[in-house]
Amino acid sequence: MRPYEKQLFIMKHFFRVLTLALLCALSIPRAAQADAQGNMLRALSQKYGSSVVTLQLVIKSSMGGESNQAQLEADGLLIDPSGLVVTTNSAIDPAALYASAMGEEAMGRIAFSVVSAKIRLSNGQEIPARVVLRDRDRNVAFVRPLKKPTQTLTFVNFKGKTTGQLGDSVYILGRLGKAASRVAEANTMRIIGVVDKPRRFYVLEPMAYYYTGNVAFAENGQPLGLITIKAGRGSMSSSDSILATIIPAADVWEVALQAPQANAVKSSTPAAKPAAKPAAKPTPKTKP
Amino acid sequence: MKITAIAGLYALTLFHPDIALAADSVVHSDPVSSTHNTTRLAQINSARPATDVDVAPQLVQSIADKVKPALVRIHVVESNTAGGREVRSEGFGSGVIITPDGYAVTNHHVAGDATWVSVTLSNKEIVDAKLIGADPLSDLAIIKLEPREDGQPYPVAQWGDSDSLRVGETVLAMGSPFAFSQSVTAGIVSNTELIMPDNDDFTLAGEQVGSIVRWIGHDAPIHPGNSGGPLVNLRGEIIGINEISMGLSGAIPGNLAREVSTQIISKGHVTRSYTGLDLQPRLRSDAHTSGALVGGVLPNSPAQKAGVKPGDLLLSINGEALDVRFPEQIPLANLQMARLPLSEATTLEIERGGEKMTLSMQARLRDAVMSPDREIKGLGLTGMDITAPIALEYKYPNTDGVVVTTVQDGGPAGSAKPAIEEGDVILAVREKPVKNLAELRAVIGQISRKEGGTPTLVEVRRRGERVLTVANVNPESTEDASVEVAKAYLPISTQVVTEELVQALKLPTGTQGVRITQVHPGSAASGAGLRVGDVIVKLDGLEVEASQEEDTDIFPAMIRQYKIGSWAKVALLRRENGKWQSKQIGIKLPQAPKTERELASYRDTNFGVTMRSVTYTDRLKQDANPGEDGALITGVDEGSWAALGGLENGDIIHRVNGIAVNNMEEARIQLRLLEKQKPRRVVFFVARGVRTLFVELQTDWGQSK
Repeated sequence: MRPYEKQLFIMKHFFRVLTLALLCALSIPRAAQADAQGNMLRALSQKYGSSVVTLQLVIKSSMGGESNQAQLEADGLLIDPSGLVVTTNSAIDPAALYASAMGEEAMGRIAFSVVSAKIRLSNGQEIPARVVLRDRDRNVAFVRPLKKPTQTLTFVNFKGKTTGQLGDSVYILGRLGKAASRVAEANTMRIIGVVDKPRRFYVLEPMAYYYTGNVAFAENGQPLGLITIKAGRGSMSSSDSILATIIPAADVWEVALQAPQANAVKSSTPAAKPAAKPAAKPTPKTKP
Repeated sequence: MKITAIAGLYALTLFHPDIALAADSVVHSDPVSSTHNTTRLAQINSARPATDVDVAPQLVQSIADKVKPALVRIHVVESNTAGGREVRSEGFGSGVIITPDGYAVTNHHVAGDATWVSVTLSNKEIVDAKLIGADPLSDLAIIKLEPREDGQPYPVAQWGDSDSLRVGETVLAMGSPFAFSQSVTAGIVSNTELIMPDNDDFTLAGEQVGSIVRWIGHDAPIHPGNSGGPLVNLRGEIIGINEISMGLSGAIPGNLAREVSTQIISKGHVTRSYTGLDLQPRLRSDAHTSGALVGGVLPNSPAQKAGVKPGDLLLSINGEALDVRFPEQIPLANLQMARLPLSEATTLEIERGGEKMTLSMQARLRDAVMSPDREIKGLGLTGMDITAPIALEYKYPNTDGVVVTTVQDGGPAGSAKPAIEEGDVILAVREKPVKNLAELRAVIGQISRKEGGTPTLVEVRRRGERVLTVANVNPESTEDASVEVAKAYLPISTQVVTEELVQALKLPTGTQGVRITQVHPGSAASGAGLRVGDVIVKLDGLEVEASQEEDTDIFPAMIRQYKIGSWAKVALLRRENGKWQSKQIGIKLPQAPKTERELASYRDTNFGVTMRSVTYTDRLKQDANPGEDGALITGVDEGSWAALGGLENGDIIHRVNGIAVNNMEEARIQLRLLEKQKPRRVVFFVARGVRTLFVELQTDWGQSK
């Protein structure tokens, strides 16, 4: 190739080469970023994945004299070494969410109660448990094993005061269902709103409602809070009436401190007393 | 006069539609033909008994007067299974007394599953009754009324001859539609051999009612509640038992009902023969003029043993010729076979391949298709014994085991791993075979009850496979005693002050906050001086930033941040002398009242009622009157004594058998005392809204369980 032809070649292809180089340069941060998110998800899953448990509940609904019961599963999170699990109150009391949207009167006298509860650990072990505390305002409920487990449990410490801001990504740990052999799942979502009154909570992208009962971590890998759903007052059918939200970890822990032991939770309904039986009459002695 | 005569004729058509035909011809006739039509009317009238035409309204009255005393309105509590449990429900129907000692006939679907029966006579007298027996194949049942206190016999209705009915004959349907007191409707016989349309089965307890019943179709209107009531002719005789309505009304022929009633009264059930023959009408391509086509022969049946084969033409049974050319003739043929003697052989004449032959068949006793299904407490399912027909139909090897009919979701069977399913046949428990319900109940009853249940090995047959599962049997029932987080609250009700309200109330521009809509009487709020109409704008210096309807929860949530018993300073605006004045009021925040779920409640199993004490919140929400105490009923079990007696949710019990009760605990004590005394009836004095009433309940104190 003659010199001027060489220059011509370089000039002709210069912009193509330059464009290619620029594209490569720009994609490197994105790939790196995606990789960073993946790394964080994997790290959190490895560290905390087994703290995500499945609650197996039998719920009874009663209205008037009729009652029905149904089995259901809900996601929960171990938050202390004794096996205390936090979940959403709406998972165990479907009426509560409806009532908060439509008012107590809309529910009439229908009532939901938990007939039985089990905590299914990540290794498949099922531990009999009991619902011990509910907070309708924050839409959280606490379940405690009937007997303290002997094994060491992985839990997420909710005592910290990590905060987030609009636009932050959060890392979510959950657990897939039976169809996926209940393996741990991990995903990211964004905070699309921050509400400060009357107390702070974070609003997530709408699809995050799927992760109700799961834990959300902030961008620094610290627990941000529990994903719940919040119903706005008014029709349940409007698109913005149900929000996926994060209740800050500190708020959850504040309520958890009130959770009694499982055997301390006693029914306020008086137990049926056995009917009194008359004392046996003394047998008269026969005379010799 | 002609117009008056025509109007009179049309009035009569209410009870005798035939006359309408004659009336039409009178109305439209010309002067020439009217003479002819009048003659024709006379000819029509002369062909009938004088009573059909001349005194129709009075005749209906006399028939009603004759039969009504024997009519009963039937009220039942029946037991059905659903969701793994036996559930009770109430039902109503009609019946008619057929013997002086109080046997009454009705439908199986009215009283066949009854656990409790009460009837109301036409004189409004209420009498208890019991189920004697039921026959699902004919949809008939017999109940017996308790003897009268004065020992007098019951009025009875007489049977007529349903075989002599003709299309066009006037009939009356009597009964208690919609559980109203007895009523009468009239119509004509539309069809004396009504069968179900193709592919439309009427099945009851596994029996196809249409296999032996050809209904009397008529157009006397019948409605829900008429079931079991008599269809009577113009002599006041029972010629049918009303049963179905499918556009036309349908009654079981009286002759069949009489036969079934007699058997049930004498021995408590109906005896029928079983042959295993499935007969069909002769095919259209078949040139024969008699006989019935054998469509099928069931395995191991008397007919199979006798050598009958599908395709044979059955010509006669015990010398009696058979002619089944149309579907309407099948029920009669089936009845003929059902009546075959059990003690001697039956001679069958058949034609096969053009050759006639005689076969000898020994019919055997026909089994019921289905046995009752019952709840197995402790296993969370209902099941039934396997009958021979069920075993045949579902190709079970034998009748051993219990078929699962329903499963309670979340119960021991439903949460077993793998779950026990409807249709499974339970074969063994803890590796010991169970042959029937009684054995299954016995073995489950021996397993100890504990929290969470006892893991128990169960074997089931499922579509030919033998599957093992482990169910946690006999779990101790636990109540959900979880508590709500205790929160402080301000005993008022509020609404958000919207911009529209600010303008309408002439509040200072930009005012945000909540307006008090109710101050709970006798509360800390009323004691502190808060009033309806006050507008709260600040709480301990913090502005109440509520200005839209969506902000409803802002103020209550601010209150809930406080600790119970702490003081809060409320800054408010109050209108005095037409001007808004600022004020500050301090208030000590009490603990929020318990939720409904947390309130102590008591369920009385004798009456099937759940109650709790009236609370402050009930009075606030006007579910109770101011100052009212008592036991508030929160649940009435369906089909329970409380439901039958008319107790309702929301009733507040004030007295039990005259003893005042101020709360749930006092009501519970009274009911437990009565359980020892076991009176036949208990009277509750209750408040229902602003009214009060006496509700009288009866109970058997658990004897019928």
